[in-house]
Amino acid sequence: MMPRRLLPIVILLAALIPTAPDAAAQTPERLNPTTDVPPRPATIAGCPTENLAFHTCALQKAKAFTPPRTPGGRPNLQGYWRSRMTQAWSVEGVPVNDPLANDVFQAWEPSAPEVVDPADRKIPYQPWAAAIGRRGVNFKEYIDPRTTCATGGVPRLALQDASQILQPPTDDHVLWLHDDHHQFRVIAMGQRPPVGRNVQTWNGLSTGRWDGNTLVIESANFNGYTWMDDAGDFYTDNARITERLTLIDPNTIHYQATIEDPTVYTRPWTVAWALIRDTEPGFELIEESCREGERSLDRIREQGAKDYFGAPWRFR
Amino acid sequence: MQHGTGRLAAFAVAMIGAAPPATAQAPPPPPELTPPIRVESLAGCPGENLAFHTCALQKATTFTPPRTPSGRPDFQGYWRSRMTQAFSVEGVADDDPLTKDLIMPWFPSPAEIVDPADRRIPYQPWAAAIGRRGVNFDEYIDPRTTCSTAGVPRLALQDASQILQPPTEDHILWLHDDHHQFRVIAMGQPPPVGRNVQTWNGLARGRWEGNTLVIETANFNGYTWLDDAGNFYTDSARVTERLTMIDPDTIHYRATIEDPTAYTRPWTVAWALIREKEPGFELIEESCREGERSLDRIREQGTKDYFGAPWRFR
Repeated sequence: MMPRRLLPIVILLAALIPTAPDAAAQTPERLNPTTDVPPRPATIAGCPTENLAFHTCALQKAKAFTPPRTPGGRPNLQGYWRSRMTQAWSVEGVPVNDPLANDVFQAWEPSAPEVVDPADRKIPYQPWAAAIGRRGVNFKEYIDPRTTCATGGVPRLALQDASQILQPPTDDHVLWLHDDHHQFRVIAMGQRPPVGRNVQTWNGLSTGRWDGNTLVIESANFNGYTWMDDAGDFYTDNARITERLTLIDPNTIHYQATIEDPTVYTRPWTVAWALIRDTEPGFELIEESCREGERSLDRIREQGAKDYFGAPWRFR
Repeated sequence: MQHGTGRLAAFAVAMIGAAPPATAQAPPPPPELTPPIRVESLAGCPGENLAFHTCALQKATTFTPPRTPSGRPDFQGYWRSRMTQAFSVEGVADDDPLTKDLIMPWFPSPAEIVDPADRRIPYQPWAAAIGRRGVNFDEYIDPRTTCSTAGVPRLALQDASQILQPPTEDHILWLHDDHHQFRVIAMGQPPPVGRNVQTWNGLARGRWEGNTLVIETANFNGYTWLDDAGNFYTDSARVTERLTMIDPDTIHYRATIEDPTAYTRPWTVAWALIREKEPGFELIEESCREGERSLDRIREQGTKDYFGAPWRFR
């Protein structure tokens, strides 16, 4: 069992990783993980910024907004995007009186749940799975896979740092590139041959379609080796995730992800947040550093924390 | 004997390359160590690297490439390298002992180096002892085996890739199957970046020179190798790549590598990138970290992680 005091080291590590060198910056900045929190504006696209209130408002806004179009006539989601109203600690949120919010080593930031359904804003875990996720076995005994430089997975990739959406004119795929661990996702548009369950990937295999002005991405074929947040919340290789991206004004995407996994949950559940256009001139995605200069992972392993690879659910 | 671990690392790389195809219904077949596809001719040019390079330089003077809507040469699509192998940019001789290796035979193949004339990396003496199956090969794990990026130009050599030219024209993207890496090539004149910024794939700046896309890359961390033989550059390297279409489905690819720290002069590799035309083809996530079973044993036998130690701490 990993000593309790070790956990903040893992968390700090995850917080440090996003601090990639800025191409234009000559001096280091943003090095304090406790103050490096994304600014939360008062309103986004005229909607409140609490996740559920935003989600409810955005569903209405989407009906009235006519998005810009690509030359091929599709809603144009291309450009650079950054998540807002999100935090990496827990999709179930962090209450103000959470003991970890007062951790002297690595304080978690109090924040609203990203879960917008069900109404209690909690992941509808089956009992055995609740003991593994939600700061359970995963959090206590395993290393966050993202800390080992593995991908953030889906939907965590859409939550951290900047990303870029591309819609090549061939119209047969959409690309989603991420600063976070320099990952990219290929979203095949339309029908493609079915893929067997034996094909398992970190980010899943994604197919996309247009539902009115909404880009719907359905992903399956996950290996279940990723976490959804620092709290160790998880799904298995049986998961299916449906993401919906809808522009609600020229610079705001309403992002929703519904996660189904009959192995782990009692029902599907949904997270939602906003993706805001990054309009900084000359902005480009830059390679994030992870493996190089990593100094504490060996010590974390020496103290008993294990690599994840889905062991708690795979070998239960 | 340390030498054996180098071969083991090479074997692990060969296993890694066998990503499952997206359309497979049956369990993935065991990895097959097939030789790289050799070709007699490409776009009417010979298949040996130097002969191809010489011929392609001529072909490029007469071919008019397709254009993007904004009038740039259109490189977009999926590409695969040909005339390349991952073992050594200096080539593998027919009588090389490693071609008879029982665990992981290297395939005889011509050098990818087209300049200098002796087809060898112009190492300074101290650096030749580290690269070219020297200290790196004997004592360190190929960084690609640990799931790090293959780096530049090795990424352009392994598996399929995709080039995208977004209509904003301020950048070009080069996405790679290999370890699921992507490179952002900023077009035009972005602000200068200090030497203190060091990255695995370098920071790439592109420009058009006639019909050729020229990519100049620096700000490397020097943690990557050029091939399985441990050939290397340091964090002072600058790589200039040139991509020129010589027919609708063939790119003449060149990379000139300068590094005053390690070499006596710049040197150049060249090969062809051939358009991948399989219907429904898409880049798929390559497996690497999962299922990796030999790395711990390799480390137990004394082979070390690289991170540039042989040149950085000499």
